[in-house]
Amino acid sequence: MRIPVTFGQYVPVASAVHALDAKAKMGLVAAFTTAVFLVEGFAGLAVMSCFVAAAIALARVPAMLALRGIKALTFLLSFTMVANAVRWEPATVSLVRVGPLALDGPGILDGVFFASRVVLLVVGTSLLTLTTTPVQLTDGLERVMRPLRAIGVPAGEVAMMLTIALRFIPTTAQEAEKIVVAQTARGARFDEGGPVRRAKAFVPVMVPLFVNLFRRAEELAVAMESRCYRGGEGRTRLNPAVMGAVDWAVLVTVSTALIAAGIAL
Amino acid sequence: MRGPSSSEECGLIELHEVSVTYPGAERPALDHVTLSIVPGRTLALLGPNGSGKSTLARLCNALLLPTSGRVVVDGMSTVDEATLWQIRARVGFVQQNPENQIVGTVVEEDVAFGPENLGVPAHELRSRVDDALGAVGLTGLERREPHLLSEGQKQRLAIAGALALRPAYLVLDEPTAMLDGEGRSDVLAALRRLRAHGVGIVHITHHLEDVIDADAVAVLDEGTVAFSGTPAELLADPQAAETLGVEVPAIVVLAEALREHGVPVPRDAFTAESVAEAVWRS
Ligand SMILES: Nc1ncnc2c1ncn2[C@@H]1O[C@H](COP(=O)(O)OP(=O)(O)OP(=O)(O)O)[C@@H](O)[C@H]1O
Ligand SMILES: [Mg+2]
Repeated sequence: MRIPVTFGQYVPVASAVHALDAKAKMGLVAAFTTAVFLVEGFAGLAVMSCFVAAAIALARVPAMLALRGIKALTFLLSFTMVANAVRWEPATVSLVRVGPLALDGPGILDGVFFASRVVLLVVGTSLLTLTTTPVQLTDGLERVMRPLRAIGVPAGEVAMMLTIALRFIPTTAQEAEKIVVAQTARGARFDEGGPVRRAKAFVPVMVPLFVNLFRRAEELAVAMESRCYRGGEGRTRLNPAVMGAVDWAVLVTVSTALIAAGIAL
Repeated sequence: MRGPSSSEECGLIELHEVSVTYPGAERPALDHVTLSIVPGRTLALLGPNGSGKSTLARLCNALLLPTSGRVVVDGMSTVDEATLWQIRARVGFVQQNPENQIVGTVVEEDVAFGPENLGVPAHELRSRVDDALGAVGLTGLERREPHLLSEGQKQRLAIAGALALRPAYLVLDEPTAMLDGEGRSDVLAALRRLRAHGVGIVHITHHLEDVIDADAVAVLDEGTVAFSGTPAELLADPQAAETLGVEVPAIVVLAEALREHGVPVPRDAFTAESVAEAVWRS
């Protein structure tokens, strides 16, 4: 059994989209989401699809990866389709009628429209994680959340928490792997039986893993305190991600275009 | 690496009649300990399990405050809230398990963590990171992810993380306990270089051979200082050292046996090289 040490979806290739600042990309995702919700017809969806297709091409990530997110949403998508397509006692002529429930032409179109919207959102958003490293994302998130400090959101601390989580994911995965190997050597089986049995087989893995995590957390707290950590306030950064002129230009023009298209179509 | 200029002021960590009793404990973990730590010197701290070594280490950078007595770092008392962060910046602390001290997702960002917390400006951060990585011999690994380093490299990264604060002192609690031979000698070599650059070092260990070239040795036993002197003085009487729970290095045992067989090995030959030289000459 192998627990992959790489995680997330980041595709390490060089592209214009990769080079764009994480905050600009987050802003674009927000603008894109707004635009997709503003769009009222299939013409608008077509324009948004073109935008996503262009972005995928520009980002040089395999389209399959960008589309992968849809699979996880099969249930949600089917539900969206059905919930929109089926009408309660419609006045119009229906294709199929089961009691008060009916399926008709406009209903089906609605279903397709709303489901396409979800697909667009998922694919568009996944472009962010495909082209931005988790560290860049965390740093960007801290900057974007900074205004929320006024209402008491500890932006710096949240970002630090995420960074530490990211730092320890590979370590914990390596450790889990070691424990699995050790337990396998003692005869434990992780690949047999139904889901319940498999889940049970992992209990002897999870327990030492968590015990270690708590000890780790304690030592890490000592190490951070020793290195003068006292919250996010007043920290400087070795590699501050700054929005350059290009990042701003792309953010402003593309967001404006997206939202204008969303309103118009 | 050089400590800040202020280390001249009253350059010393002084523990004066320090006692620590943990809440609920019946006997003190440290009992009237008086010691000083000098810039540019290595103090080796030995002693059996539970003798209070880690407790003493935590006193030096105000992670722990004494129940009675004083700990004074370059003139600043550790109980003084106002100078807490100055003390932490001046006394680097390195623990046994390197893995659990690394905060950054890449090497250079971990090294920068301490000075970042102090609000050091970005351009100076870069030079601090470069200096610290150079001091421990990790130059070139700036962008490496910590989990891809060897254990010895991880521990040297932890040391670099402490050095980036430009400390005058470095307290290391069993820094080689989890390392193999090569990782261990790399860490020891880095520590020797730091001492030569004027950093005062407290090196806690169970292995006397790791600190055979220390300037001073203190052996703790049940919270008190059972021995204080030089490594040579400690090893002048190997039996007495053994009773203090000190593991006498094999080479010293060998030298002793050689002397008994009439080979003139000097009493201050504590390394394989010096013993070999004496045997060669005889
Ligand atoms: N946080 C704590 N709370 C209560 N008692 C403690 C705590 N830390 C240590 N002690 C006790 O204080 C004594 C000294 O412990 P300390 O960890 O300083 O010893 P040590 O010399 O570092 O031992 P080792 O060689 O095992 O690391 C021990 O009796 C220990 O049980
Ligand atoms: Mg200890």
